[in-house]
Amino acid sequence: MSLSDCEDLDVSKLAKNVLPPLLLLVAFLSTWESVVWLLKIPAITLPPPSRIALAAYKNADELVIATGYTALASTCGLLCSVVIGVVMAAIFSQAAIIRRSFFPYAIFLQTVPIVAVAPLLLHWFGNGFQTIVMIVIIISLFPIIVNVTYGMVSVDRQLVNLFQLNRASRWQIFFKLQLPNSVPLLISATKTSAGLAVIGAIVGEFFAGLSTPLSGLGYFIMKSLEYKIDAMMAAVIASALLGNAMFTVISFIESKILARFGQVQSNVFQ
Amino acid sequence: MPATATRTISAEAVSKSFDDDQVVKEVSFTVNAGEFVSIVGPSGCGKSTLLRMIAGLEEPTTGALEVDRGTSESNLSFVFQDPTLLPWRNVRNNVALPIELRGTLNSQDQETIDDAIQRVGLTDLDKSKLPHMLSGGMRMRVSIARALVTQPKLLLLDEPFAAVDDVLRQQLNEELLKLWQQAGCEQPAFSAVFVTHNIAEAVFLSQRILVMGANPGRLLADIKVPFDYPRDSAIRTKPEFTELAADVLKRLRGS
Repeated sequence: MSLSDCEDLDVSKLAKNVLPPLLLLVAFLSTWESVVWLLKIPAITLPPPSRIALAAYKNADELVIATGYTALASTCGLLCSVVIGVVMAAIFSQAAIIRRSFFPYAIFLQTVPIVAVAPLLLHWFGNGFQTIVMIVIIISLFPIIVNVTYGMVSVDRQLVNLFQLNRASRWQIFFKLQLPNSVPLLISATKTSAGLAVIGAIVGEFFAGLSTPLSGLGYFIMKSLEYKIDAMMAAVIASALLGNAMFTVISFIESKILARFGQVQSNVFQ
Repeated sequence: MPATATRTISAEAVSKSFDDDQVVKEVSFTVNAGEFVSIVGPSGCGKSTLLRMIAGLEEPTTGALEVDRGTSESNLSFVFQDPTLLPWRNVRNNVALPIELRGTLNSQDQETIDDAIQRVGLTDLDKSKLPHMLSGGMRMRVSIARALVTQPKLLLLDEPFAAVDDVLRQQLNEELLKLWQQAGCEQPAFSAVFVTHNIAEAVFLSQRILVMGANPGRLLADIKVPFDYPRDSAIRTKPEFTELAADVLKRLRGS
């Protein structure tokens, strides 16, 4: 295959992956715009895309800072979740009895309605960044614990035998076998949790993001609730883009790591 | 009795049950130092369980099983049915694993590792490859190199070539015999117990064949293979070879 063939392939691949969603977006936005104008829907109910774009431009400085603040809170919380999740999975992986005893409480993390706990956390930890991060941790921890525990426990029995035959210690089995075995699952769980982390940060900011020197998208949305629907929608779009960006970054890391394991990234949408 | 001094394995009425299910029933046999013994039998005859007991991965329910573990730390190696490599480690680091688990790697070990890789027919280029970049046959070679890197006195193999095609299987059989015979040495490099369900493979490789039957797993026959080493592929077409293979088959069917 010559170099030009490769380039042709890339261009056609780009066209295949980027063009259809882009066209769909243009069609969607123009329909929205025309429907709003034709039916004379008041901007306070549903602003047209052009007004949202204008609001985004006017509030650009504040939006950028808010997005950065939310990105920081979700990233900090997500990193804490990864560390706490791996440590907890390491403990869970040691014995079935530990897993059986703790698992119902781990599920609690998954089922507890975050909006119900948020005021309680606000009461305990006060207004500010630390409480937002705490909410992010609660919402993003569960997928990591479950997947990493599974990765550590589901080690090939023959590999365990191999380690035993070479008189490996429990430490060696953990660090040289169970931990690396769980890495692909850790990455895919982190990808799932990244989206949850952004949700957690925004919910956290609803409750605990007020009157701090800097504030995030959640606070921006709350603040815009009164008569600034166009700015609010700009913030909603910014938060969606943020979730997307985090997902993309982790997907990139995932593809690099999975290549090392000889696995292919599963993506049904491409 | 000088014979017992060179005995590597001696099994006396060894039985194994999982719950109420008896998989191995009163099996008795011996393997002398340097001997190449195959165990053939249908699936479910307990041959793999027997091998796992020899390795110390399972305990016999009743009976006595003595395996000479010698004085050396690295007495016994096991080659599994699958290559069983760590997917995130390259060839060299996979082969280094047993030494690494037993202590820290020193410069002399590096030579031992390179030597083991070379002996199974892998090149310098292969050393840095990850397992998923290799073919099934190559992965099995890595697995054998890893088993040999500790210079074991007893090599246990559990249907290692079951997943490769027949041509490659024959080639790997010949290479395994070369590794066992150790060019230029009087004594074989190790004793070998080779579990398989392929009769021709067992006849080609071994000095003795233990034939096992199923339900429950028991020993049906202990057959001597009288052919001299080194054996090459020409032996497979000789009438004595086919006759012996037919005899083994008859014993297997007799169960």
